[in-house]
Amino acid sequence: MNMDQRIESRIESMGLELQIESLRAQLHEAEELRHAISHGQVDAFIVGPTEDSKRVLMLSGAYARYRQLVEEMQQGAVTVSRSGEIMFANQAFAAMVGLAPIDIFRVPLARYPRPPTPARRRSCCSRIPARPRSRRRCAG
Amino acid sequence: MNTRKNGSPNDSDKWELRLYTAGQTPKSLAAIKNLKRVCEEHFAGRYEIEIIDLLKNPRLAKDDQIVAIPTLVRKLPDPVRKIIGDLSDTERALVGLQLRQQS
Repeated sequence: MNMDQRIESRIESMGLELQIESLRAQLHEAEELRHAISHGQVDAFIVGPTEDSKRVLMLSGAYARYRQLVEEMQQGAVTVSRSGEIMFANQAFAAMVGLAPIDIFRVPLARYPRPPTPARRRSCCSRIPARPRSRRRCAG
Repeated sequence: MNTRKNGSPNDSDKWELRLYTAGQTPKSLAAIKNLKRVCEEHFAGRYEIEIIDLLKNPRLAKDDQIVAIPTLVRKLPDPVRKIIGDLSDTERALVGLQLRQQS
């Protein structure tokens, strides 16, 4: 084997090594994905071209739509664990306390101002003069 | 880049991590919690986490060729590594981040 042939063979060998390395990485990623799916560690997928959020496919369709509604509604909403930690806060609640929703995760609810108790609400309302109720007219 | 010959990170490396989520799905929230715990335990003060909500910006999935959510991408230290799932299996997450050798 002359020098040229040896160089050519070496280049070819390096090309194959790179190809093997790239295939190994792809195989590793495919294996990671298979493992994550089979162990229930993912709950959404990107399907098709990623132009809009409809391409993000949730594993539980109807539940995801409900969840999106709660996340984006104008009223603040939280779910709290037995120990008083916030497990979920929607965007409206996050805006009220001036934090990103993910930064509120596991924060004790007691840290934030509490809504008025029924007694406090009654005492506030008693100071407001009652408005005369309009009469309903019934067609005879 | 400041890495060892075998590709595993040094104790002084800065960690730049990107976590892809879809709103506040249970697995996305679990991944955030688990990632913060791992970061605090292994490289406190040397990490940055960028959380990308693909419900808001689905186009960003293309950057790192994301197919499943949650997915963590280690941008730094080099080389880029991808870990798919909610990181609830700490051992596997540490191997994925090259903080531990595969047994």
